[in-house]
Amino acid sequence: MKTMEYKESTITTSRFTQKYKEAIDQDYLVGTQCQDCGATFLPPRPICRDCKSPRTKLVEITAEKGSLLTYTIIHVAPPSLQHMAPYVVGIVELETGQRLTAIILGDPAELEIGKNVLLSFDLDTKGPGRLRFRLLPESN
Amino acid sequence: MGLARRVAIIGIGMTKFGALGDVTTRELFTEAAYKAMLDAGVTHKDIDGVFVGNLSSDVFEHQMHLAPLLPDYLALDNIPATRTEAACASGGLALRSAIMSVASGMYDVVLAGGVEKMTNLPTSQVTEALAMCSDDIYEANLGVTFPGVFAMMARRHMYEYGTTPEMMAAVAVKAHDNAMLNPYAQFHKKITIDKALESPMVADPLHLYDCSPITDGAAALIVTTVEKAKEFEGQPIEVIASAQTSDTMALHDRPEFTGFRSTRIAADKAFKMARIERKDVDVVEVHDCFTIAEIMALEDIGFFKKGEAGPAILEGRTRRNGDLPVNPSGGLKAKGHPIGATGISQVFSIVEQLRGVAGPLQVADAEIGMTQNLGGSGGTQVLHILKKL
Ligand SMILES: [Zn+2]
Repeated sequence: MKTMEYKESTITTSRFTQKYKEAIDQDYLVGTQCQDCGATFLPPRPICRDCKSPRTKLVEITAEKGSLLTYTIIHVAPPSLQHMAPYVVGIVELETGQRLTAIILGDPAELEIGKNVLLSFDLDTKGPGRLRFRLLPESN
Repeated sequence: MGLARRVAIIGIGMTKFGALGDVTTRELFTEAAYKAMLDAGVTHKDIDGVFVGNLSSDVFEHQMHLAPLLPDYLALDNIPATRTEAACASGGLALRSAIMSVASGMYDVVLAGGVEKMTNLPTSQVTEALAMCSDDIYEANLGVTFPGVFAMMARRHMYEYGTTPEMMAAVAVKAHDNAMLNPYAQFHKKITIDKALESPMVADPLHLYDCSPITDGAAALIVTTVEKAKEFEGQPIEVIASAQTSDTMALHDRPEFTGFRSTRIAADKAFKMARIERKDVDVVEVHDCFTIAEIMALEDIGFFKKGEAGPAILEGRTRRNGDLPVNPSGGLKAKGHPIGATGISQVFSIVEQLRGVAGPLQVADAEIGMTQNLGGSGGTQVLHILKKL
């Protein structure tokens, strides 16, 4: 392993989570890019999962669209979300390749694996919970 | 890697599983532990250490620092006591910790237990507490519940392999049939595939009958070496493999959603350590927290190819008289799922099977048994293989 090479690098407590929260509160996504192998990660992480390098920097993830990999309709919700139930949650692969979990807006009758979705944000929520995806009408 | 000393389980004990009313965590644990001590023929002075699996007496009972409290109530004085928490694999991890402590030579006789008292809280609050076992920032915060995580896996499994709601319901029907004969089980009620499919949706495509219940209960085991077991009355069953691994916390960070990489890795390690093949396993208790989880477990451990476990279950091949009896105890689904106790209770059932004392649940000629205990959405896996001596 090359761990010794990084002894002088700048790894400190990253506070990437806070950066992610601040970005999402301003309607954009921030992840990290590895400065050694170029891999990008969303949510941000201090050490590259692929090559284990700690030389990472925050980058904006510019994806606007993604596709639905899987989903569920939640009928039994935790107390904090009971007012929304039933609601749809899914895993989306962004056009930039990263994956996120979020509430999916749109007509549940239109739900299908592989459908395109648009990145959006819930204006009434603060923090990571404001991430949403909206089903796009069929057209491609 | 392996066990430096050969390890055996010589005593087993369990409480009834169910909604047990005003009983406390310490009382449940003491009943199961004392039964295990009696079964093994060990006394208080024989026990060198305690490991106890528990998810959250903090949330459920407003009690932290459970490790010393439980041996205190059991009247085990001044003993090393450790609590393990790995979501629903907390119990399996307590056993594995006990096994490692005995195999290493640190201790000779160890009590490994698990306990959970869950029914004090209403269902919605239990749902919220369990959601803490997923990634709080990137999953739970986004509205994902535990049934929701498994529902997303079920949806993808249906999409890729043609698994059907009927196949999932067949897991529940078999679980209830087996639990009918298990005096410890929470449910003694037969169900049908139609009834399961008519039950209310929890997280589409998972119905209520696809989900394990909220349960109170405790289970305990006495662990020692194969050599030392000769000094006690309890019939020893050898532990020939113990394997554990982790995976990413969030489901979306994994390459695929139709199974658990962590189960596959831990299973490979376990079979290698045990020096046996998959076909040598006579009976298995897998982690059917949701019906789809049993299907995925059987495929990930390698008993069936991808997409073939569902049809096999529907055909009855995993019933008690089938070619691979799965969860003859009734499983988490129908025996009940008191989180911290589950991993210990699975081993309790396998020890009974290998001793040949499982009564109406007995699988014929069982010599090798296996348990798979999964934490969260597969972030932790703990597998054990046991063998008749
Ligand atoms: Zn890298």
